[in-house]
Amino acid sequence: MRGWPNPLAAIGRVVLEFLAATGRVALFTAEAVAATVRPPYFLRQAGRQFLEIGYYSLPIVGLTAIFTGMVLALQSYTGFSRFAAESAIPSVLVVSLTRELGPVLTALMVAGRVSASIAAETGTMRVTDQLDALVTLSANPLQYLVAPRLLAGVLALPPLVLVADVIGTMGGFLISVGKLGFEPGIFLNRCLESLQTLDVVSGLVKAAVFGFLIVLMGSYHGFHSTGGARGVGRATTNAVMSASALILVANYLITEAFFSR
Amino acid sequence: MNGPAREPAIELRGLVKRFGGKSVLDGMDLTAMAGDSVAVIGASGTGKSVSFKCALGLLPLDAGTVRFAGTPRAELPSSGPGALMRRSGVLFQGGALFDSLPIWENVAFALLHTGTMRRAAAYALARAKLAEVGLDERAANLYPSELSGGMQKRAAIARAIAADPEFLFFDEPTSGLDPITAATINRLIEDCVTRLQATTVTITHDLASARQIANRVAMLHGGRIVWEGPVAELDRSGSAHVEQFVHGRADGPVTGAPPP
Repeated sequence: MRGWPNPLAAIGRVVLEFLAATGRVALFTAEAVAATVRPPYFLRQAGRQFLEIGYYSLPIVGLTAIFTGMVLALQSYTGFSRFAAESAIPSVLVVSLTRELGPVLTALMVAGRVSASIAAETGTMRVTDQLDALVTLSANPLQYLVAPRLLAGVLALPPLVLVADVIGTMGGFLISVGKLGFEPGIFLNRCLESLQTLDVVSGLVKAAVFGFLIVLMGSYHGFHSTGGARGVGRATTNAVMSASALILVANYLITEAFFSR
Repeated sequence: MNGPAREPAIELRGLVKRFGGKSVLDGMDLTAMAGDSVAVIGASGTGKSVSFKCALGLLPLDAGTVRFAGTPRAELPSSGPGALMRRSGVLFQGGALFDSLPIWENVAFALLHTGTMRRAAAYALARAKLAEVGLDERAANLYPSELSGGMQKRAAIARAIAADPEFLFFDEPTSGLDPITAATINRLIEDCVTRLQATTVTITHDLASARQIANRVAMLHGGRIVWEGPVAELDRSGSAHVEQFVHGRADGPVTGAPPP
């Protein structure tokens, strides 16, 4: 059998590596959360990061939301018109957007932009000794770099999702009124009648959790990047991939927690 | 450079550091007396930078002890005026200036972020420190990427000396600089060390730098210090390792670093 790889050993290696990585992420998460609640607080940094994560993500989030709302209206019409159920379009549109599409698509877009940026910046700081320099200047890198971003991520995503919900609904409204022949007043009334507090609240809770995950994955991969430019590139890719995957998993778990009967 | 007090200020005893199965430091001993300026020389890849990172606790040691002014590093407070990092200034090989901050904020970083100084006072102090290394107000408000390599090194030196440290660590201060700029940086470091009376450890493979900055030289090879003595004895050390290094010979006990 010499020369042939042992499949069991290969599976074992993958499982062990997965468990080790999970442990490392859990430890990093605990340290990052502890750094966020413990003084000193870098509020100026948090403010900058809030702008970076929230304000500068508005264009891409708005663009994603408006086209998603428009497509959702068109597709819903195609499906519902077969059963003469076009009147359900406003309800489906607004509930889909606030519960699922608004938070998830916003988070995925922000993950692509912010998680990558955090991983690249932190990774470059790692490979150019800037993280060590922070330590020698009496600053805890977790408190200076990660804590303000975590705070900003958790606080910036909910308003972004609210904006996405409104713009997405407006996209659906434009198509429904301009192309599908809905009365504007009736459309908006149906939207408001269908919408429940829990729909919005669940979306905002999701947004806060997604914001946490986006920043956490960007920071984790940046902090652990090695090997120069190639390592920073790998950290950036891994940050976006892991943040996106965790967003989808967390989305299921939160949906299950809010809406399973 | 030698002050009246001659107590050991920095003591490294039996430092061992391994990466995977490879031993980089293998029982390294080094002592810098108070006010000493020690240059650690050695070929590329012999663990010079690793040794200073281990001494400061930036890398965990596999074995060995580090003492600052007689106190084991582990027993020093982690914050407050007695903390090691509050008493140390460090110049990293590439400068390690923070890209996202202007030069003056880099210099005043520790003072601003330990909450000891307001921004206006920190700016004034940063200006003064930058002036000491020959950088003017215009440079103070630029970002690191807008400065040349030599100016970045000056700014990094200003940051290292901003809090008037008791211990100074310089990692390859002249690497990547032309001979004239390197000589200027050497003179700056010499002035800083003399003025601050700080105990200084400089990691370098630049002999001109070692001769100008240091009063003692130690050579690191095979994870250990193979020779240590006054800088004046560098040319008559009697050590085959030092002689090969000083004369830049390819043949001798010091061979090129193995590929990582």
